[in-house]
Amino acid sequence: MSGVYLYALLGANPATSPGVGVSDEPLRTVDLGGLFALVGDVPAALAPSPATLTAQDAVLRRLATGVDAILPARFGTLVADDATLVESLTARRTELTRALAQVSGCEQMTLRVWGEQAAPPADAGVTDAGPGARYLAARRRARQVPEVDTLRRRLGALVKAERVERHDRPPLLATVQHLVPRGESAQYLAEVEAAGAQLAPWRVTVTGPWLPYAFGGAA
Amino acid sequence: MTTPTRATARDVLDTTDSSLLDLVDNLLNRGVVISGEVMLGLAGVDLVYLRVSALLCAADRISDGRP
Amino acid sequence: MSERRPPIEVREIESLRAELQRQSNAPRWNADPQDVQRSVAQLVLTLVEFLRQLLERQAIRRMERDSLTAEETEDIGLALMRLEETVRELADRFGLQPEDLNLDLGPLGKLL
Repeated sequence: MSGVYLYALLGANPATSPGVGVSDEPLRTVDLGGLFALVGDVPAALAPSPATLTAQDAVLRRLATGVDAILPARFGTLVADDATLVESLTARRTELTRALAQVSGCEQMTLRVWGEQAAPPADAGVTDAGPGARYLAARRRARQVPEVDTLRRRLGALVKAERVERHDRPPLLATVQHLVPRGESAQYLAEVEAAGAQLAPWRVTVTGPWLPYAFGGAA
Repeated sequence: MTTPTRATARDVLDTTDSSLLDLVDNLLNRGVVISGEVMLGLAGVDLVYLRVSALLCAADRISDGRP
Repeated sequence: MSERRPPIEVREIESLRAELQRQSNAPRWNADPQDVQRSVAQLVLTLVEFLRQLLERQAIRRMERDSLTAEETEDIGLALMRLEETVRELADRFGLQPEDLNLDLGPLGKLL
């Protein structure tokens, strides 16, 4: 079943021709009113494979050299037509425009946090709070990664935004995505390398820079 | 909408290349989701698409974009 | 690339692969003719769980911004706690595990 394949959302129309997509189809943009969808007309969505995933990422990296704000779409996002695309996205324009503004000029570094045990909960001073407040505090801790607080302090203003996911399945404890200004990844990596032993008993590995895949949704 | 099979998605993870794993994670677990679709089926026969794009709109409205 | 990165260990790669595998195994909804009630319950509870997570995130954000009074924090916390318990109890009653409420609602992955 043919359709319109969504590659990414853009904060501006590319100045030069967007070229071709993964199936060698001509890419084009759809104006959503303040933001643009980068799409290709394809006979069918491609199955995920190392080759197709790499190819889609490569298409977007190429586009990103000419556009400041780009939010990659999830792989496999195929809709019937432009009208469906517009209908699906128009109501979310405000949030998406805000997200594009945040990632403008930035790229993503992915930290994996390794260890045998999560960091113990810090004394949050809620010992005399009721069960509801304590529950909320516990739910909040489940969305935090204090294991890399030392690294965060070192990175300082290099990190424009953060997205966190706890796994707590040793040795994989958590994943932290950092939004970093483009061109600063070398400095970021240097800080991670230098932080090294200070993070003990936890370890950190890092990949990137990536396009800001993790910053399309709310924090 | 043609949806690649789940079996294929799992095949992509048959690797120990860590950068490929992060590529898979980025493209299949992250990125902007524009419309969720639940396949409603009966007796193994796919019958109806339930579009949950309205749910995503609600999610965006509930979410507070301010840091 | 000349910059140095901390090397990833073999068992860490395996652990990451297993976690991604786990996420890709999210079930798709398909009504079982033998137990349509259970299938419908699964769909409904998955959607409720989706909303519960949204509400929790919003409550935490407001708590962090100090825009909740102590009383509001306690009330919202209790309500969310009871909501989570209710979802779990209902799921259990239909023989559903927590993983069953992680329905695949997107093209190739979880909605959230």
